[in-house]
Amino acid sequence: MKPVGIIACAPVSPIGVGQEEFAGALLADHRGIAWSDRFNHEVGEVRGFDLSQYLSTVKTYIDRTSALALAAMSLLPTRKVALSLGTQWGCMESLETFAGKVLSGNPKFAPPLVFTHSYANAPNSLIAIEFGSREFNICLSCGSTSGLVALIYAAQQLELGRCELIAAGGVDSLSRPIFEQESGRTVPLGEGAVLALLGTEAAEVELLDSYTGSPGAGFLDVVGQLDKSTLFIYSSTGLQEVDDMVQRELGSRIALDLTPRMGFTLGASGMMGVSAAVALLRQRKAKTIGVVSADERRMAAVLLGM
Amino acid sequence: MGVVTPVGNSVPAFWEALCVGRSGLAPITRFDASPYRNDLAGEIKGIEPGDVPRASAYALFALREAVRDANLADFAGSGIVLGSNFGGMDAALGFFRGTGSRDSLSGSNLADPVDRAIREYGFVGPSCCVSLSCASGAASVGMAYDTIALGLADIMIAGGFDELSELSYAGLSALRAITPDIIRPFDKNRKGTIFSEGAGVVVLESIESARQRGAKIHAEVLGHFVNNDAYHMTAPDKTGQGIREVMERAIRDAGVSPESVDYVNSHGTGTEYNDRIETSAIKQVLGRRAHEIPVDSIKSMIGHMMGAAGTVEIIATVKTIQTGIVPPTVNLETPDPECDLNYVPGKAQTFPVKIALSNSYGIGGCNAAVVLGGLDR
Repeated sequence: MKPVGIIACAPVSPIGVGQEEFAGALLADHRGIAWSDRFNHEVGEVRGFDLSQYLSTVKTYIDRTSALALAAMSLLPTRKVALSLGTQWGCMESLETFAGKVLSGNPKFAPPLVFTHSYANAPNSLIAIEFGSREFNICLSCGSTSGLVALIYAAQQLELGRCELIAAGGVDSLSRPIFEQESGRTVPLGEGAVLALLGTEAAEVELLDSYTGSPGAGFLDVVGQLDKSTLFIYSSTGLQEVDDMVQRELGSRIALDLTPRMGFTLGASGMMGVSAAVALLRQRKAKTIGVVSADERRMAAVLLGM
Repeated sequence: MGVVTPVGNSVPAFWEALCVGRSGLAPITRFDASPYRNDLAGEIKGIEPGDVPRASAYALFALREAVRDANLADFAGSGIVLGSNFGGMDAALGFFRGTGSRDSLSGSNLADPVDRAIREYGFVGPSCCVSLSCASGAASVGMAYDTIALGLADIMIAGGFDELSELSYAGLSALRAITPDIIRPFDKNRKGTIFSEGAGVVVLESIESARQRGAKIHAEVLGHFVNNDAYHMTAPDKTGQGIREVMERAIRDAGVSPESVDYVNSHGTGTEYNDRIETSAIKQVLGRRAHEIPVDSIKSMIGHMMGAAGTVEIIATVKTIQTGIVPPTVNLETPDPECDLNYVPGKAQTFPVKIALSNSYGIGGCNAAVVLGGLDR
């Protein structure tokens, strides 16, 4: 693939909002995991999050997943652009609310507004509406690799000439259904959104190479520019089979595991790694950094460099 | 190609039904539809999902037919992209009712059939689920096409799937998208759509690889585009700017001219606004050509298959390219002065089609358009 410039990065994370705050917290080794009365457990929440701090328009209803994605988008320098967004679970908070109304005994009056906000593509649609972009727009879902796969597909759209700028990233939020469903993980869960603005022009940090596919395909061979010294950022999933597989592939080359710092942020986890890589590259901590994301069936990896 | 539809669970059965204008819509048996706007829907018959979420079972059934049709035996280097609006909503409903297991929500995860297909076939290439509301099935074909165009795989499975569930049906009814009547696309008295379920799957392969393999090539994907109206979560943009642009960009992506388009498989939901706005946009994009070619809605027979609709309609479009038969828009009895194209009312027509456009739109302003071509164009 042709190098793609990462023009800006906008994380909304348990350790900070915006690339500067995120990078500062990362380099200072701040932790974003804390006890949550809502979940009666330690989680990585974006605490004190209030969408009205990021948008001038008033929302009568908004799912937390959409709100996190909208906030991340609002932090990018250019917002009327194409979009490729990945999410593992979409807007489950709204689906649960809507299901509650359907199951309440009077389904005829279930609220259509909440229903439309429960769609997985609701964050995509709300971003397009908010910032007025009729450009290329896609929502992807492939487990915890969703965000990184969305970034890779965005870079492909640049290569295919379908856009000149594209926002790409991942988002997931914590809600009761997700917390229950994902309770088998041995790590704290986290939430957040990261959007990166990609373009074809040269930038300080570039996306040099990428891989998506089966972990069994030997992805290290596929990411052509890697050499033995390239270090990786990973977010351990808390699923032994997956983490063991990544450990087998990368071993001591995993230089940074984000999960102990912010919890496992599901479909946003790979993009949290991209934000971290951008922070470390800008600090000249390395010349190239790999970011890897994996679940039971697939692996995604990108190589970023100065 | 493989399909699971309310009119048949194989491409030959599906196509035969379309050509004679047979409807697969009937009263819902799966849940009590009395609280809602209509009890009609397009349910799938003859597939027992067992322990598999129904949406995933439909996708896997269609996938198996497509794999047989493509005569595929070696899946190394192949990938898979499926699209869905809702995924396994009954699994989600069970979770929220508390009747499912603690992790039963996993059956509703959009990537569930993709993961099952990987386990069954061992695809090692890129794998993903696309969710763009009712444009998902078309967008998945576009994403798979891109993967091949960039040389990242020689073979990609692409498709769309969804199941009828009370959970999604209640929402669609509340949105008043469902007609209290029968579905009548482009008819003056149209009042909305009828939803259905199923799956469509296609095997995409680079022409070079397919020829080397001696595979039967049905048609060629020439280009595609996906965008968003950027207007409103539920209300359609009455200017039709988003759907006009998605068609224009797909035609440009395909490297063909608007005048060369021979047929449009429309989104054609039968809602008051969609059919009028889509007609206007087709006329703006294709100009005079719009009045010379057939524009039909097979949803009039199979209903709106939600996330499956885009792929199933692409498969019907491929059959039209192959045979020159354009399936009818049934129940179109009273012409609407604002819908003034040849919608193939009532009975199939024959028309030579070398280049065709398939339109899919969804809630949230999601739009997809795919341009297909015959090999002898």
